[in-house]
Amino acid sequence: MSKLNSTLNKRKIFDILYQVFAITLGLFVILPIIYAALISFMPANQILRRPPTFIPKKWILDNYKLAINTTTLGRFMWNSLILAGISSVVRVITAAMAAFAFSFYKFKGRNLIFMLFMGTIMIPGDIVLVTNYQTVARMGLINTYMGMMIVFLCSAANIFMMRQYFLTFSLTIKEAATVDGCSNLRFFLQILLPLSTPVMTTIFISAFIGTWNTYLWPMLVTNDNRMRTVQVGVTMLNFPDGVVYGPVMAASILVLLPTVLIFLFFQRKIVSGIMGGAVKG
Amino acid sequence: MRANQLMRKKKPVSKVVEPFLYLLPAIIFFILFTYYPFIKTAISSLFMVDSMGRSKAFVGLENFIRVLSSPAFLISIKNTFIYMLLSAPVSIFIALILALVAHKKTRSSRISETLFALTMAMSMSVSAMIFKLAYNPTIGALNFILGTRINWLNSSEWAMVAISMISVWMGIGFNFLFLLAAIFGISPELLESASIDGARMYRKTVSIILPMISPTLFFLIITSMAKNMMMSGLVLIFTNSGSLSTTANVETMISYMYKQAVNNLNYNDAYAAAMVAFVLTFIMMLISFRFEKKGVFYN
Repeated sequence: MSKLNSTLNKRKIFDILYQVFAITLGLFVILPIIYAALISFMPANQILRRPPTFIPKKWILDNYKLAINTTTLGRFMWNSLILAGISSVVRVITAAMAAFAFSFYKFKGRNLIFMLFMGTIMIPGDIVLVTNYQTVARMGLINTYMGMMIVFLCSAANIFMMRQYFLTFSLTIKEAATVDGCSNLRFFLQILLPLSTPVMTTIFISAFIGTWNTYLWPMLVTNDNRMRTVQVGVTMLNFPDGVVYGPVMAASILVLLPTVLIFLFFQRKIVSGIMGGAVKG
Repeated sequence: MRANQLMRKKKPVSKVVEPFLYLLPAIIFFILFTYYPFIKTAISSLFMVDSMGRSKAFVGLENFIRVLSSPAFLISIKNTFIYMLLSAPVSIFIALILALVAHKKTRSSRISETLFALTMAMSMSVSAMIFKLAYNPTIGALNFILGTRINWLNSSEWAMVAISMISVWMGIGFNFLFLLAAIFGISPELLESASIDGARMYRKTVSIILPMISPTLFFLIITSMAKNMMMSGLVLIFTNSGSLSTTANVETMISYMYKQAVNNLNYNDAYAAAMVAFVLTFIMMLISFRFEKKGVFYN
């Protein structure tokens, strides 16, 4: 009896130690974020001290005040929000429309068009960057939201995911709806889409994080400071000499906050999104 | 079965056009922003192009010969390969260890899983800014922790390693989630039977988990390597924020292409560099598809 108790106790202690170990390891993984957060509360003279110290002697908000008041960080955030928000919504719409055609219609060339769509996955955006820039410049979209968003409005991977989801519905629900006098468009808008909110949320969230974090394209098509996104802006912040790092770290923390919060909030959805792209169910 | 249900009597024109209306936005998009620019890039790489981007004269492979004999581009290929070989494998190795730690369910699993996955939410620019401070030779954390005095971003040996480390870190979250899902995909009976047999943790790992997830591992490594072939963001961030004394140490194929096109208006070299990068990436992707066919987990 006491032997059983002691093994149970041992197991309990092992269990607790294991949890402590796992969480310590986790904190170690996010060490760079913790580092940035600590520096962002540190007075400038302490940041410049050698050897470096990591715990602020005095916890101050000056860096945040500087980052918010002397830069256009708010404007950058707003631009990123428009870019990420609108293009993700549009991406869900284009994916849903295309997936609807692929999974509920039979028409000539369906497989060919589908293959051509999926083929775009093989062509990385960076390869066509220069030509797309020329196209967008010719359309007069430099320094506009439309120019920033336009290359993110549709994604073959999202169409694929949506189609996989639609294929789980039996065609009979559409037949039934048609018999009841429901047009295809009404079926799409009022029956299919409401039933597909889980996959649409997943696509929206992953698209949002992706476009919020994108750097190269928004940098390429904007040269007006007021049109910069936060990812481009944060690398170009100018502060007086000597106080550079504190406010930059404060700005970095402010910039990563939205995506980290979204991630924490929707972790399960995002995970199923990743797996949806990888696992063909 | 599905196809039969769809096969019906002759349809009126409006019915024939209908599916294409739903496809129209995507068709226009893919033609305008993927196929047209791709074909134009491929064709232009065989022409002499002026600084306005207009094709002048057919020159065959001349652009490729010039680019591939330019030391700057060859160095960028070398740097790209260093980055590719360093970042994905190291990141996946770390993620594998984390996934092995996380596959044992405890009461605080959700917390440690979230911490392990959190780097997924990090953007390239913010990560670059944080590591830039950590890499600072005098006040940065890295030299202090390692007890070194390396000027990470400006040393010819370490600059590419320093950039790869950022990508290693950023990739941990995604790779972790992927591998954790693969481990959870192993049938529980298989793992259970191992623990009943009294097989210890590491034996279970070596004899059951690793072989079972090895297709996923290879798939992850190869697809990440193909993706990393396109890396340019980190290099351009450091170039643009003026933290490099010379960019030759870290130039990649795409950052080379970018600078030729945007800074020098030299579209000849830019298009040829883009096509070289494409062919190399395409080869990587073909290899990755072979791995995928061989059996990444299918639920």
